[in-house]
Amino acid sequence: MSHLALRRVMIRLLHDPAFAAALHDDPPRALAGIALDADERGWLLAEPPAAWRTDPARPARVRAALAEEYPATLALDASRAETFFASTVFHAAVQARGSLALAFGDHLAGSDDPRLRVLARLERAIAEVRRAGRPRAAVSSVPERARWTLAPSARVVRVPLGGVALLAAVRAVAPLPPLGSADEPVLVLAPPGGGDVTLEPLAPALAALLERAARGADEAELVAEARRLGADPGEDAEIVAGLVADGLLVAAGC
Amino acid sequence: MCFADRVTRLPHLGLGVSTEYGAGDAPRALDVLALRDAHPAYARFLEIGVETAKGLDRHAEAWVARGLPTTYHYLDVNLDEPEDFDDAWLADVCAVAARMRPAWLCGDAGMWHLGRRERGHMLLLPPILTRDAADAMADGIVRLREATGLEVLPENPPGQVYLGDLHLLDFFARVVERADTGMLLDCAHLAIYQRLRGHDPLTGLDGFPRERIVELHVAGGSERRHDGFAWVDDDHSPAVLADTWGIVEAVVPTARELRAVVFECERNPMGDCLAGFARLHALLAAAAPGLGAGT
Repeated sequence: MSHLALRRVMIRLLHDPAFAAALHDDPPRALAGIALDADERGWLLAEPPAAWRTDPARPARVRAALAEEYPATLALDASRAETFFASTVFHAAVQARGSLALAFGDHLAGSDDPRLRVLARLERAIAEVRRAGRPRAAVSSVPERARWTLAPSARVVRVPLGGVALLAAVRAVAPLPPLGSADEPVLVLAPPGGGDVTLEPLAPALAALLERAARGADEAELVAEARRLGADPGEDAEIVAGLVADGLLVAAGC
Repeated sequence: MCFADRVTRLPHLGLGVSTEYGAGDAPRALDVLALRDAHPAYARFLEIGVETAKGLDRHAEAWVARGLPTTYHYLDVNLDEPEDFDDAWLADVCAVAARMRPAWLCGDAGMWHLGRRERGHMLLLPPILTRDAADAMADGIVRLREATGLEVLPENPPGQVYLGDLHLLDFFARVVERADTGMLLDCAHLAIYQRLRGHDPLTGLDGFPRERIVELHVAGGSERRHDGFAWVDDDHSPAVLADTWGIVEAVVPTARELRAVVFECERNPMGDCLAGFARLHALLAAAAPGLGAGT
């Protein structure tokens, strides 16, 4: 399947002039780590560099499409977006068949400005749960030893205290609140029938339980985790059952 | 049943026109139903470009509502990437096809989107012209045909860069033989490729299995230059390049299973397109009378 790897290199060349220049200046370095044979490398180098630049407006068009999912982050500062196509996360996303929108969020979250980092992480989580796809059909029965995981439509994000308020303020073009030093776990949830993604600050114990589930766990492990986090006997299983009933936990692989 | 038998069941659609979501709403764009009413011989069917995420626009819906013939031109599948054939997409394709009742599926056999189907990922690139890429594409064609029950005709895509060690026509000959299917030969895209590679417009046609050509595309293009690099923009203008006409005129008389020809000019005023339609209509009437090019 090296033809797919080669095509992904083409995509990168079409978006990143610096990469195209590097390909011709130092091919082994530019193509390091990419499974291409000598012929494939030769085909790339045989193309005139200008062939990769016949649509110079392409990067700006793609960036504009990606920006639609990061309105708050970019409202605060759009300058970092300019360097996306030269970033390692862009190139890695293309080469690994990943999501450009999520890679864009990762790039924005690499800002030196803590407020931009918070906004980018929250908007990236929103973008991620929007991609959860259609709700799975209800399963008639779950295997007894099923492993549970966090639903694709839900994410727990930890941002500094005040992060959700900061996002709301940017959206409302209101004065920006300060960020605290403590963590604020936030549940980012896409409703099953579509509509606006919600952000809800979580109690620390519930956040920890959902984060444990996100790594995959069977029911006994989750009940034990709930107990460790402070639930009473009996209440622990009820909490886990409630998360399943609410659709926050889904059977892995079902 | 092999392609040679299956092709006998495909209808002779004749000369038609194409559209895609939103194209008919562009300023001064071709109104496909008005063309059908004014010149029925030029719009005997409509090739509808479909992204399942968008569905059909009002122009396509109106055509379908009149029960007129269609073909389904996919705009959102990378045939050579197995990950692209997810159940949700296949279900959407089947749902749209059930409404359109197309004669077949067809479309550029290259890369329509980088990675997954997502905002910002759309980007049409030609395939890498190698044997393993051809084999992967053929597998995808068979998979789509089996999933939809419709014939799937790969089309040679446009491009400014073609990589690989096969000639474009040798690549697609391998694809259609391995998938045992027909071909949508885009004459404008072929002319673009031949010029980029420094070939004569007809290079490689002698070795191509012309009995597998079911559909042709004809479109105009604009010659451009960027930093000394000369290329042709596949802009679907009504101004068809001489190279493209040369390919059309060579193929039509020799493609014995030809069923359909599309003049792709969907974003241009009708009056600007009539000369191209008339030339194609005359060519088909003279060289492919079985195609039913009469009014």
